Amino acid sequence: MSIARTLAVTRRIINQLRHDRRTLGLIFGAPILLLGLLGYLLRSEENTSLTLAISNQDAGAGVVNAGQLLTSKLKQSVGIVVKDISGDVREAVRNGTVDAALVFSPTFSADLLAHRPVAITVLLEGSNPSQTGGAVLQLQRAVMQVVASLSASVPGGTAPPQVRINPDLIYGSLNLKPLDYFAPALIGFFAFFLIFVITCVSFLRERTQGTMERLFASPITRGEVVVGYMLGFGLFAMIQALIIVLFTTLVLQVNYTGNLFLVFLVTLLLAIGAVNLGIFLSSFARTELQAVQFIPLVIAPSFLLSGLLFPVKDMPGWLQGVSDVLPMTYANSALTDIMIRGKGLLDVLPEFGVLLLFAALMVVVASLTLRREVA
Amino acid sequence: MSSGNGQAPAVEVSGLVKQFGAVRALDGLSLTIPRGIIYGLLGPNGAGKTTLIRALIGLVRPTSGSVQVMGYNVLTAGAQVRAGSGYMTQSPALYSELSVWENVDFSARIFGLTDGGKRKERISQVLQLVELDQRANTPVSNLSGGMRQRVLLACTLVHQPQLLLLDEPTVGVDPQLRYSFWRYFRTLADSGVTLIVSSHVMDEAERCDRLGLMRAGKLLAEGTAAEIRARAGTANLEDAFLQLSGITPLPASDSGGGDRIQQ
Repeated sequence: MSIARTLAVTRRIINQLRHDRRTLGLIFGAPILLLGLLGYLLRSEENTSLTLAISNQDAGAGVVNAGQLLTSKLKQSVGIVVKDISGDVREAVRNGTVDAALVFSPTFSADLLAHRPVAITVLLEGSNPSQTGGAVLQLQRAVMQVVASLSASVPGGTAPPQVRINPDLIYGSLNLKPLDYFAPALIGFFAFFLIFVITCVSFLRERTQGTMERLFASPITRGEVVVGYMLGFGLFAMIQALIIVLFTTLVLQVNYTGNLFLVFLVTLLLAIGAVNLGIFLSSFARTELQAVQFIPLVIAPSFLLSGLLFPVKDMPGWLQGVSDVLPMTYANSALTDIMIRGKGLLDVLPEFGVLLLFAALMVVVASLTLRREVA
Repeated sequence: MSSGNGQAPAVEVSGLVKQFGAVRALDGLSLTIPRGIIYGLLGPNGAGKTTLIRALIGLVRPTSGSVQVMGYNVLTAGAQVRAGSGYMTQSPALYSELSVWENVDFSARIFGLTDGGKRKERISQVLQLVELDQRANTPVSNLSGGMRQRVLLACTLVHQPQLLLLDEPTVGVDPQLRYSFWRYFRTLADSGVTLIVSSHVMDEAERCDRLGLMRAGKLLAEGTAAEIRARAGTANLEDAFLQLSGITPLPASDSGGGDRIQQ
């Protein structure tokens, strides 16, 4: 083994990377970007407390109103924020104003004093099984603590009261598995990711192998090239979307409630946006290596910030802003709405609109960034 | 074809300048090429031959100067110019996954050969011409460099362009096929097609009707091969070119009557 030859290879690698500033930037910059994002997301996850609405229908028993006492005690509990909701608490849970709502029944105090088993209904949104489980546990712990301390102060309340938490899910069921929750978002993510990478690289190859120059030596217009690409890759995106949807539902047996055709439609729309994003971004890469670098820069933030792993509403404000401009966020929201919450076309129309707008916008910017001129 | 002039020269370029950053690829070049001839563009690498060819079909936007092709201003009527032209790039720019036939078929469709029957007939014709009709279904990735060059020529010819821009078309082509290429170029010129061929092979230059010698973005000399030899006072084109570009000073030259071109 010749040291000189070995070092010649090493030296060449160093020189190549020195000349490819973009790759160099990626090697050093991408970890900071991705770790930074994850850091912010996980940090904000730690600090999130459960926001709670309380509907106290307790009629009380004499001077004692256990519902009221419980409410004021819960307000002092760590990790729980009680919000005063004037209207329907079910609606507040549904639209995400609060994470959960406690409902004390009219006979709550009476039952407690009579040492009858009492059930506190907890209203939960229910679409995210890990959140549901976490919230139920947290509430169980908090309520038990509060009830125990109360029972000591309530006259005659010597035996520990039997209080049960009774979860009432607006969407889904307690049988909802993490896979059921992640499936809708993953369907969208894989369609987006794969179609983007394939289009971006094949468009770039058209430029590097010189066929783009020949193409533009014909009467073809930029719009014709972009739309032609979109239709071609769109066809494969369609087949891919079909396979993804059928595999998740038939083979993985993911639980879903909504219309599968709508799922297919959202996935296709997202993939068409991905085709045009691929064409657009390929103008900013000179080599396949540089095109692949868009994965950590474009795809990873889509993965982290679209609400797939971390709920958008728990993110720091500026990250929510980023999340708001990612097409994945809307696809994710639409797909979850359809598959878990069983919503129909009308409910996800805004998301549809955004995805359509994104696809159209990308056609325009891809056409505009495409240059007939060689240099 | 409204603004096109049937009697206009194939190419009329005047004061053409193209600046790429600090590099002046074309430096005030003016040139007129009549129709129906083979025009040879000669010059060393970096002389601006490819840039000039690209400017003729709007792939390079001039910094200044005007370009008229077949009577059309390429800046305002680029689509018409491109529809009637065939450009054979220097590198064999083909879709390597596609077969020979599929590559030529794509070019044909892009140039508007929409009639299926006529298109098929035309593709068979050009494939026979480049002697690849037996290889129609072979993927381009399996072909040698010379064969790819032939596929490229087939792609360039398939829509029967009136102006052919061939950027070093015979690189990597064996002598026998080169001979048949040039015989076909002559047939095309005789039928009224204008061919602009860049080359640095001097024996090919002898086959051209007129020649333009380029260097550093300028036209050094222009005329028939005989005229250029006479002007330089040399026996062959190669020496004439060296003489005119002032690269190698020739040994004692009488330069009798030769109007030397100043650098």
